[in-house]
Amino acid sequence: MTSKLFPAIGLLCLLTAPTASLACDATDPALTDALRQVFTAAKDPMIAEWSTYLNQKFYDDLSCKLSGEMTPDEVLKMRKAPSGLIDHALSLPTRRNQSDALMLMLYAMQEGAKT
Amino acid sequence: MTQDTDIRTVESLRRAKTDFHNNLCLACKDDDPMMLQKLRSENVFVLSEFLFLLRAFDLTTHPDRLEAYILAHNAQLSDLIKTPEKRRLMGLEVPRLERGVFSALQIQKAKANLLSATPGLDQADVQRLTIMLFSPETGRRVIETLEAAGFIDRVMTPYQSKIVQSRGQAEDFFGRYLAQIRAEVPNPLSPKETL
Repeated sequence: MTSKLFPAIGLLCLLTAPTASLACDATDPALTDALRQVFTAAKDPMIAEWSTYLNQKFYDDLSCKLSGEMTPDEVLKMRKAPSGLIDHALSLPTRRNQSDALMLMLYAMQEGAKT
Repeated sequence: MTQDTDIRTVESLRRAKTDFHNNLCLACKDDDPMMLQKLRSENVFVLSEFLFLLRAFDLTTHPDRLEAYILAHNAQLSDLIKTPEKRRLMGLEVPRLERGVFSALQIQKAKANLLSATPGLDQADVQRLTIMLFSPETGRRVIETLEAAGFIDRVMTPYQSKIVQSRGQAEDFFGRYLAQIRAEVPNPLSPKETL
């Protein structure tokens, strides 16, 4: 029961997670398609049933989240274990703060300018 | 600092950023709504800041300066790779950081690119230098957005690399953004005022 419940809980978390703040310039249609294939063809009956409620926004947001992290082929390889895909998506930070990275970049450039 | 001053400060910062994106959109050679939407993204703002600082520090006209910058960049990545607490705070993982490290050969190529017939940074080098900001895939897309909008050119070399050459507009608009903030943000803290 637990193993059947967990993917559904993960899917529910993905559905209700705040997605408005995703930093994504454009979704990759191939990645979005691959995600749709994995969820709609899931052998797990609970995931397959839940996938009927998933709309385009869900796939676009998940595609944005996984963009740069997984290729479409890598997503399709998880066809037999979509719960792993859910785990991976949940483990990714929703949004990174770029301010720290920008400060480090500035310091590195300052070092360069000293030459 | 009064509440009114704080509110005006926030308003000035927000207006300046909106104006930055508005300027990009107005200057864009493509008025497709999707393109304009992409130009208003945070990642475009961040890459513009990167380009602005490259120019402000004059890092792409002097190979030795570029080398010093890259070495400092490598040292930062190395430190993050060795310090889990720091990189977790930034949400960065080791494989991603390792992709941003320049090898000795890549540093020499980066310097040589500045002296070539098509001077500029290789796109792969831009992706390495911005690895803490974007994944390589996202970095590529932001570069492509700026190219499609007419703000940068990507020149293919005989060695199958792409040299990124900025036309300077994104940097100008970013400089204008900073000037607007300086002009509009209310007076800085008076000597008697404390944080």
